[in-house]
Amino acid sequence: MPDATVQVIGPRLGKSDYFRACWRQRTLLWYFARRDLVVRYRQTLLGVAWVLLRPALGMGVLGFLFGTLGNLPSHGLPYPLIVLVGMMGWQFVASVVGEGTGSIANSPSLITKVYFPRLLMPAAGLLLNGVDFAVLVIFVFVAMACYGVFPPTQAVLAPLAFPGLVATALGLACWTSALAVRFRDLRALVPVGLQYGLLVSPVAYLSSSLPAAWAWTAWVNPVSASIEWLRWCLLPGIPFPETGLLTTSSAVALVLLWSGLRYFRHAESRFADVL
Amino acid sequence: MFSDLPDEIAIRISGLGKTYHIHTGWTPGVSLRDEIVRLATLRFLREGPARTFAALKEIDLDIRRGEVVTLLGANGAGKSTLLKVLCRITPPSEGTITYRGRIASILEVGTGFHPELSGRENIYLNGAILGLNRDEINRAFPAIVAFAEIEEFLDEPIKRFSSGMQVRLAFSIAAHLDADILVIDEALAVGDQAFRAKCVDHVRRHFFDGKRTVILVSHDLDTLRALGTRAVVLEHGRIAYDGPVEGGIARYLGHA
Repeated sequence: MPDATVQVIGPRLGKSDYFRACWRQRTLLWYFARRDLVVRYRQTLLGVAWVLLRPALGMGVLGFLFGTLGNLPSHGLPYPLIVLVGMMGWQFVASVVGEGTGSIANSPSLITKVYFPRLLMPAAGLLLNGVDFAVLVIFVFVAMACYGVFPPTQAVLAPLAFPGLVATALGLACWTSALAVRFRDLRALVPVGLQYGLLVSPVAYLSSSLPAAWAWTAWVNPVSASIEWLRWCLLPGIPFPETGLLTTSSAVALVLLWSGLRYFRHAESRFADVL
Repeated sequence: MFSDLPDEIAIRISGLGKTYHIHTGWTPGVSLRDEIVRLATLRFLREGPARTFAALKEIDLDIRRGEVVTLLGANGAGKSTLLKVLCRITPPSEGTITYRGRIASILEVGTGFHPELSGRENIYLNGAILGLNRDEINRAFPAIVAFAEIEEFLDEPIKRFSSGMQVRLAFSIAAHLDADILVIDEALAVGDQAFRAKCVDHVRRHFFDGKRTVILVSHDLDTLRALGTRAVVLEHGRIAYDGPVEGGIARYLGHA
């Protein structure tokens, strides 16, 4: 035992020490995700069908509103497919953020009794919803086949959208979960934000459909780069997204991730004192 | 971080202090509106400096490897705060704790258990929360189940367990951690008389091997007498006594 490592607890924990501790306890990420997965589907009627229900409903309702009523351009594609690919990216981010917000604030007994890197709690949602995302990918291909639409060759580049989605989801979840510890409002505010976020993001419409005066909203939206990238990759006939949109939106996602991690680490040491 | 901890020392606490800031008129977890009002009305300028409360003051303590230290003190003397700092739940305001090996604490009943998960799933979840990887849990698994006496219920959701079974499982997981330093806070007072005796016996056999270090907090003085090798009494956040267990209990009772 004398060879066991010597550790120091002080008023401040170094950054590299923190991320090393996260890595050491990475098993925990898996078990948190598994817990949430089991709890989510045990004693439910529809079970895993829930993964498909939301995008399917979104595809139907939003497709009707924007495609049929709004008659927005779809580059010759069935409008519901435009929405479905948008929902794919959106739902991942929305689920991670929605479930992550309460992850710390709803577990006071755990936070005040035992230490582990708290970041693992909001981050566990990435794993859980990553599985949902994979299921949804299959659903998207099935839906495309049903419409007789086949993906172009650039479909192999589609996974490149994932880092942007992860950065946005984790960055936002860090902010909301840490803030929810201090301000209970967040738990009511976040669902409302996500509800309208769906409408102001280019999920149910192409960002090129926005009037020129409003195009900037898609540029500064951290999810639009990933969503437009997915559309270009998966749907034939969609033009390549504007470079300005891709770079600005990705940059916002990165800033979100960086600032979220920073704020979370800053707030984390006080979680046990506040809860 | 470098450090020069002598081999025989398991934990070195030096100059440790923990101060809580109490903002008058601000309670944690209040609404965002209140906070905005506070900022907008410039009320925070008139609040003056926050009141501070020192839960721990200038704690210096060397604990040698293999010692079973019983921590005594009235409510509010700083026992829980010291354990929280030791377990990294809250950071100290000043000073440092240097230690060797792994610290594990026996959780209060059911902390980290999820009622919908089975006994088996909860063992893995709880083990991971306590810092074990999958191999380590796999290795300890049979012993945990046998000690908790829950073999037949292993795949039932834990919400169907009796409270006694839950407590036994919680203790059993923590007791089978291969930790170098074990923190036990009131956790020995669990289950029925027979299980309690078994816990005390387990702690005695497994943690009295001269290698492991135990920090024990309990209001059951008989347990402390049976297990402790040294007593530390806290009063108002300071160490008031450090020595043999009997003397510590006498000091504690004199002030209780």
